[in-house]
Amino acid sequence: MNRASMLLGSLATLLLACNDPARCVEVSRPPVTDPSTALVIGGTYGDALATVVGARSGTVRWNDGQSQVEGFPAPGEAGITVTIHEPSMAEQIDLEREGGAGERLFCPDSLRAELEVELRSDDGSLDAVVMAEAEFDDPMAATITADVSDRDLGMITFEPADPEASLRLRLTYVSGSTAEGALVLVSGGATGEGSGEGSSIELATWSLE
Amino acid sequence: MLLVCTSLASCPEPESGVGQLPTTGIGDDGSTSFTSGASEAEADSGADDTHGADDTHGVEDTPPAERSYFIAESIDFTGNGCENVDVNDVTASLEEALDDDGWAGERVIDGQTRPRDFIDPMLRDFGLDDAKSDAVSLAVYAGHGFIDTLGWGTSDDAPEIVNPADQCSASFSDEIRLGALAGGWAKAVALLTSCTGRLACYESSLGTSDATQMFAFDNSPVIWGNAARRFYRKSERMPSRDAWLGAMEDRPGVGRNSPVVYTRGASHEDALEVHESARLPEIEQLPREEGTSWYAYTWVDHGSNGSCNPIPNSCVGVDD
Repeated sequence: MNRASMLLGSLATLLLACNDPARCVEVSRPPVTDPSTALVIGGTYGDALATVVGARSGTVRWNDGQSQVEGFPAPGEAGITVTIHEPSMAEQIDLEREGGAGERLFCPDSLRAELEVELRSDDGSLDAVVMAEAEFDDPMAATITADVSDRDLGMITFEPADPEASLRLRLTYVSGSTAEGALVLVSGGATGEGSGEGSSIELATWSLE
Repeated sequence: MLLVCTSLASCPEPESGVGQLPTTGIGDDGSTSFTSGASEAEADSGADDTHGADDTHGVEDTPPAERSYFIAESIDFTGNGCENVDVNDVTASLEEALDDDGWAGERVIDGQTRPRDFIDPMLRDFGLDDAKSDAVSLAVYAGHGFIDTLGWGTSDDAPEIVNPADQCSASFSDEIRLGALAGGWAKAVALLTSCTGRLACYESSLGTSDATQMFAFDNSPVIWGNAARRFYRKSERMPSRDAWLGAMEDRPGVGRNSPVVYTRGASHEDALEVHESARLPEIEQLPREEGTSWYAYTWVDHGSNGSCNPIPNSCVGVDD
């Protein structure tokens, strides 16, 4: 094929992209409840459950965020136990790419589940049960998040200097490895004309064995 | 702000903002030093590469050359275990420009590169970023992508890669840490893929890395083959931020791309100052920002980010 033909071919491909935008289309799949079910992300549902379900303990570090929020413990450390209960079901997100020749779109599959998470620190500051979203891009690793701004967290009272700020729970679990967690103060936003500012401060961090 | 509108379509003003990321940083463990002129065999990071199996990550503190680069590009997505649409070459001309200016580095394409080239070995044992993308000052990936994800064209079939997702892709939130952890040398990162710069997920994806400047797209772009070189050359006479927006919003065919630039700093003021002044050809003047929390961003919203859906529930964006 000569250079002119290759160029014309490339241009045709690029022009096709204009008329048929790339998109990730979700393939419908039934909810997963059986641990032996093979997942689109590989492994089984049981593998994913084993990555997150159970009680794990470690040390929580309370960081200095007093200029940003009231109601949190003074800087220091305490023991912490995080218990994740088995969900009743999970949802497979099976994405297939359609259209968009020339576009650089990758459509990743994932597994999502709503988990009941218990958080208890030995100093009594944190004593909560929250529902959180778990997302797996492989059965051995999960990111678990929740907006806990309005939840009863125990002795902690969330009183941010910015009334619009939110408090987020973030957990990262990797099978066979230490699990990490944090309570993160997120504030700010757009200020108009496309500008904005904010902050994202880890008020508490922990590692679990 | 210097921007070039090269079509008759409307040219929206760039949109900017600043924010702050989590303040808890992790210390630098150093990295292997970068060596230019690697042989093709050395550049191949395929299944035979056992670097991830040893225990030497981060034991050397020798920094890479100030002007050093690692470019990985996936073009061929047909029949190599990671099926997708083939895309055009967009980094060969950038490599030429960098080499002409005396940069040292390597460009690996298709079967010469795997996701582990961008994965941190402190997060996954098989990661190689301390010897590849995070062993240099400028890291570039071109290929497919999505929110939080880079997609490769050739499957990594090494025995230690057991999950399908790791054979063809790498995720920022839990596997990539450019400018941090092992390696830790990347100061500038350019991502010529779809959706990885999506503002709606910045803090939980690109924001987990510590590279000082990251150049990406909020939409699903089509990119001219010489756009990366144009970006570099334009950066010689204007801030990299403006050069990226100007070079990358131009899109073959109908429509425009939505490029975005993120810059980190030790404070609100530092982030803005670097954001508004840094130039890629002067990368030696770009500060390393490991462990910093503030960021600034600028983007041009040409829409067409509908392809970058669904947004994961775990996303935290710049305007959260």
